[in-house]
Amino acid sequence: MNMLSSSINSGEFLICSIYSDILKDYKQKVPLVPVINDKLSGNEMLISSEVYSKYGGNIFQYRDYGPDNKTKEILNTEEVQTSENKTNTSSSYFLETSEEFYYKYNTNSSNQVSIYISSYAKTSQVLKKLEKKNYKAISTYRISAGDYIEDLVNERLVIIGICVLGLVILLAAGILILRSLLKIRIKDYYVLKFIGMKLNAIHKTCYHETCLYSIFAMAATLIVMFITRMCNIKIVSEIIWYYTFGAYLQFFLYNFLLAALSARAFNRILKGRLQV
Amino acid sequence: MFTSFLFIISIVSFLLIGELHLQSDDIFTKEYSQAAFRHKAPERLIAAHTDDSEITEDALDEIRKIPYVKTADSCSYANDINFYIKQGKDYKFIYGQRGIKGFGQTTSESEGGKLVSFLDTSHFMMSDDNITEKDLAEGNLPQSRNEIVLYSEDKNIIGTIIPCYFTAANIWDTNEYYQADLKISGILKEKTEQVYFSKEL
Repeated sequence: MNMLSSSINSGEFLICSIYSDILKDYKQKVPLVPVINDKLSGNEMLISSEVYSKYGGNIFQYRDYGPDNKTKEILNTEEVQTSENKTNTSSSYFLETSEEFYYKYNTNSSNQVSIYISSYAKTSQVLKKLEKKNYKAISTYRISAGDYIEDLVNERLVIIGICVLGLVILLAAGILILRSLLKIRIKDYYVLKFIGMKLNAIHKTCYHETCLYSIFAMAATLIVMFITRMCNIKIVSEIIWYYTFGAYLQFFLYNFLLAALSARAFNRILKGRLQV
Repeated sequence: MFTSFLFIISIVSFLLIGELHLQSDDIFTKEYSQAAFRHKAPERLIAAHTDDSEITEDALDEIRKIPYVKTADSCSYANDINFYIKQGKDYKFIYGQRGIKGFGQTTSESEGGKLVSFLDTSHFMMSDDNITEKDLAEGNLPQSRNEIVLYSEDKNIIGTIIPCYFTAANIWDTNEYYQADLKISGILKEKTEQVYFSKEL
């Protein structure tokens, strides 16, 4: 167990003074945080001047949960040699003990582990893996999250709104612009019609070509994004952490839909022109 | 030109869809309470065996092998303890103001009533479980309780003893602090403000 955090899951170190025959217990019991001082040995202890002058005593008690594991009780009492720490550089409530004494009541083992993951986005995934391996696990951030902060909630809703609107506008504008760009190649399709290709086949060719270009564009996007991530550009790498299978599927479907609708819009124009 | 335009649309849609997924979790719109876990780290998880048995080295290795796990620290509770190592930046002394007490300001009789004031509470203890010999540019991992590993451009500081203060508002009382003289045993390769402490400390 870690020395500075030992007070969390070990018992209490109490220095006691002024015994009361009526109470049959010590009137003054002060809980102190135990730390090791390598210069001390056996039952030697150092207490800050502030605590020593108020509660100084030579009786040490160790209090922890008893066999029922419900109530704390005194598990051991022993006489110790306490002295005033005149060169104390820590605050008052530390009890300096010898290493030997410290490990009489504490161990060096730990029953809990802190795990640091690459991104918060992977929290649920890692928690599931840990549960499969017979660990009980929590996210400290999720556990500590409390009430909503109104400004941040509004900001989040605005961002969601901008993203949704952006995708809709991008789709509409994309179809119009791509249709116009396809019009530049309309003469190629006149030639195909002239050499005897059926209108249906021309439409299919247009669909296939547009979708193929879309696949190239998506592949190039993925390459660019992964290079950007490797360059540690924070905004992009944060977004990529949130890309799950579902998000990639949405990205592919959106771009295919855009390509297909653009090709369809162009085919309508083509149909009118070629039938004239 | 046609493919270039498709490429631009593809990039913008990638970012917008990604941002929507990022915003799908409302966790970052909530207030963080430091009552239980002082170290506000979204990437931090806590785990224990279902039977509360000891976390062994084998268990740590098993956890480290899980995808997306960067490090695992068996000194979990210590990850919520603040450390202050750079005088003037992390902490400072205030002289001649005996009696004025606030968070992290406590008089010390032996030091002539000087107050220690903690300035930067963003640094938290991590044990040497998080690093290996490969992370060191010079020196060794901590071998004893009061040894530490940190980053410095000056390799000659190995062996130097420096004072370090610790506060743990959710383990000890708010105004309590512990001071230890620590010996630098190694220098890290990567530039970081994180200091790695011996597991015994």
